[in-house]
Amino acid sequence: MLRKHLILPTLLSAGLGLSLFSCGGSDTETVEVPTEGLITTVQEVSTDNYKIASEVPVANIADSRIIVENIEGMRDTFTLDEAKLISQVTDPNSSQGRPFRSAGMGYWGFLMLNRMGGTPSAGAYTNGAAHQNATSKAGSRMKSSARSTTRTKSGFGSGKSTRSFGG
Amino acid sequence: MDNQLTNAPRLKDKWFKKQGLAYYATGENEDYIADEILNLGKSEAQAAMRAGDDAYELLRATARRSVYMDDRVRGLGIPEFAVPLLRWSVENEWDNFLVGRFDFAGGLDDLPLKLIEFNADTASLLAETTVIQPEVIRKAWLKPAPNDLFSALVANTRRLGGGRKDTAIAAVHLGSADDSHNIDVLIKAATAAKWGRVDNVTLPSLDINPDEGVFFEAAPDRWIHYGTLIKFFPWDFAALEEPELWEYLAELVMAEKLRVFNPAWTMLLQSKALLVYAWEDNPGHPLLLPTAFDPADLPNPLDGYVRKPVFGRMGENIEMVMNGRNVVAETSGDYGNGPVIYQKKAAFATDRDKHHYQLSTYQAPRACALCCRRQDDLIIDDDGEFVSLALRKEKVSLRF
Repeated sequence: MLRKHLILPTLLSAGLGLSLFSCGGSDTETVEVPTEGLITTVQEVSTDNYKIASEVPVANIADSRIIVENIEGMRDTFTLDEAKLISQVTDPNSSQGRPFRSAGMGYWGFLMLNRMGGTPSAGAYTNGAAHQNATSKAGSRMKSSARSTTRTKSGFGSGKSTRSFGG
Repeated sequence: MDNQLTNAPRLKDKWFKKQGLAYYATGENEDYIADEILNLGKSEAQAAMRAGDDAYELLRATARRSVYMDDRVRGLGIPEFAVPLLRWSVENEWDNFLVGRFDFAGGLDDLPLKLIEFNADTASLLAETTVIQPEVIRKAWLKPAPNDLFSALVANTRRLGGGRKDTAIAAVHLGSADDSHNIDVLIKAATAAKWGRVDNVTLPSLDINPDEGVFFEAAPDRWIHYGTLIKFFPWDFAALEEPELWEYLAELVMAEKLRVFNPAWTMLLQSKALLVYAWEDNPGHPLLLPTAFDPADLPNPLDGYVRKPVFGRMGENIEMVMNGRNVVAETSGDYGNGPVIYQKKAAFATDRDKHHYQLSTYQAPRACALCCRRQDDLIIDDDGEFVSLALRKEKVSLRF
C-alpha cells in the first residue's frame, strides 16, 4: 500500500503552507518485474517462421541479447533496447518484426514488457527439449529473482540530455 | 520581398534580463532575434491566419479517421501499445487542445502558402511571440501583425479548466532552458486563467504511480499531488523512448485521474506521416504539398523533395534532393533511426541575403497569432533567426 502525506495545494498557494493530510491508497496493484536478463536465440525454421532455440540467463538486464539466426544460418545480434525499438516501429507481421514477435512468446517477452507472466507455451520453441531447458533454467531463475513493486517510478527521462524538445 | 523588410530596434540586454529572457539574447543566441522586421501586407496576414484554421480542420479530420485504421496507425510510426490511449483520447478529449503551431512555406512574394508541418504537441517560440515580438514592434512604432497569442492562451486555458481543486498543476519539461521558458508562458496563462497552483518541474523529479497519480516530494515525506500536467516533453518521446512512462500516463489518463495538455491525440498530428494521409484524403488540396512514403509516389519527384523523419524535430535529419539524386542540403541529428516521409520541395520567399522565410500560425485552437523565422540555408533548423512581424502601412490613394 502506498501512503503519502499530501500537501494540499490550495492551502499552500493561499500561503498557509505545509498543512497536511494523509491519503492511503487501498488498491495499489503490485507487479513482479524481472531483475535479471536473458540471451535468447531465435531460429528461422521455415521462411519467416521463427522459433526459440534457447534462452540462457544473464545477471544483468542490460546484458540481454537476442540472436536472430535466419534459415541460411546467418546471425544478427540485438540488445534489448534495439529489440524494443524495432518492435515499436515495425509491423510485428513483417519479415523484420517476426523474429522479435516470436522471441516475445518466450521469457524474452517478460523483459520486453518489464513484467513477469505465466509459463510460455511449448509451441514457441523449436522443440520440447528447448522449451524444457528454457523453463527449468532461464524461467525458474527469472521467477526467483523477480522483484515485487508497487509500480511507483521516478526519474523518467533522466537519461536524456537537456536539449530542447521545441518544435 | 526586400521592400517589406525594415530595421529592427535592438532591445537592450537589460530589458531581456528584466523579462527573465536573457537566454534569447546572449551567448550562442546573441544574434537569434533578427535585426530586421518583416512588414506583412494585410492580405498576406489574413491568408496565413485562414490557412492555419483550414489546416487545423483538415489534419484533425485525417487524424480522426486514421486512428481507427491499423495500417495508417503503423504508418504514422505509432507503436501498437499506444493505440488504446490514442483512441480514448480522440473519443474523450478531442476538444482539449491547448496550443500548437503550423509552419508554412510561401505566403509572401505571391508564393502559395504550403503546409510544412504542425508542431502539435510541444510548440515553441512562445516567449518570443508573446513577449519579444510585441516589444520589438512597439519600439519600432509599427503596427503589429496579428498576435493575440497570450490572450488566446488565457481564454483557452480558462475554457479547458484546470481540474480537481485538491490537486496542483505540474508544468513539466526535461530541463532544457528553452523548454522551461516556453512552459513559463503556459504557466503564466494558466495562472491568469485561475487554474490554481502551477509548478515548473522537471520530469525526472516526479514520482509517477499508474494507480495513484503524479507526485513531487517537496520535503521528506511531504508530497504534492498533481492532477493536471502541462507538458513540454512530446508524447512521441514517451511512446518511443520511455514506453513505461506512456503506460503509466495512459492508465492515469484513461481512469480520469490525470489530465494532460496537449492531450495524447496530438501525437497523431505530430507525426509527419499524417501529411501523407492528409494528401491521400485531399489530393491536390492547395495548402498541402504532395507527400509520400516513397519518393517514387510523388507526382514529380524530379522537381525536388525533402526527406524527413516522421517524429523529427528542429530541422534535424532532413535531406533535400533535387533531380532525384543530388542531395543539395542535409542536416544531422538525433532522429535518424525512425521511419521517414518524402515531401515535395516547397518554394520559400527569399531575400537579398538568401534568407528563407517561414511563416507560422499559432492555434489555440483557432488561429490567434503569426510569427516568423528565417535562415540563410535551404533547411530552417535550430540556427534560424526569429523575425518580428509588423503590418505594412497600406498606401492610401487620395482622389480629388
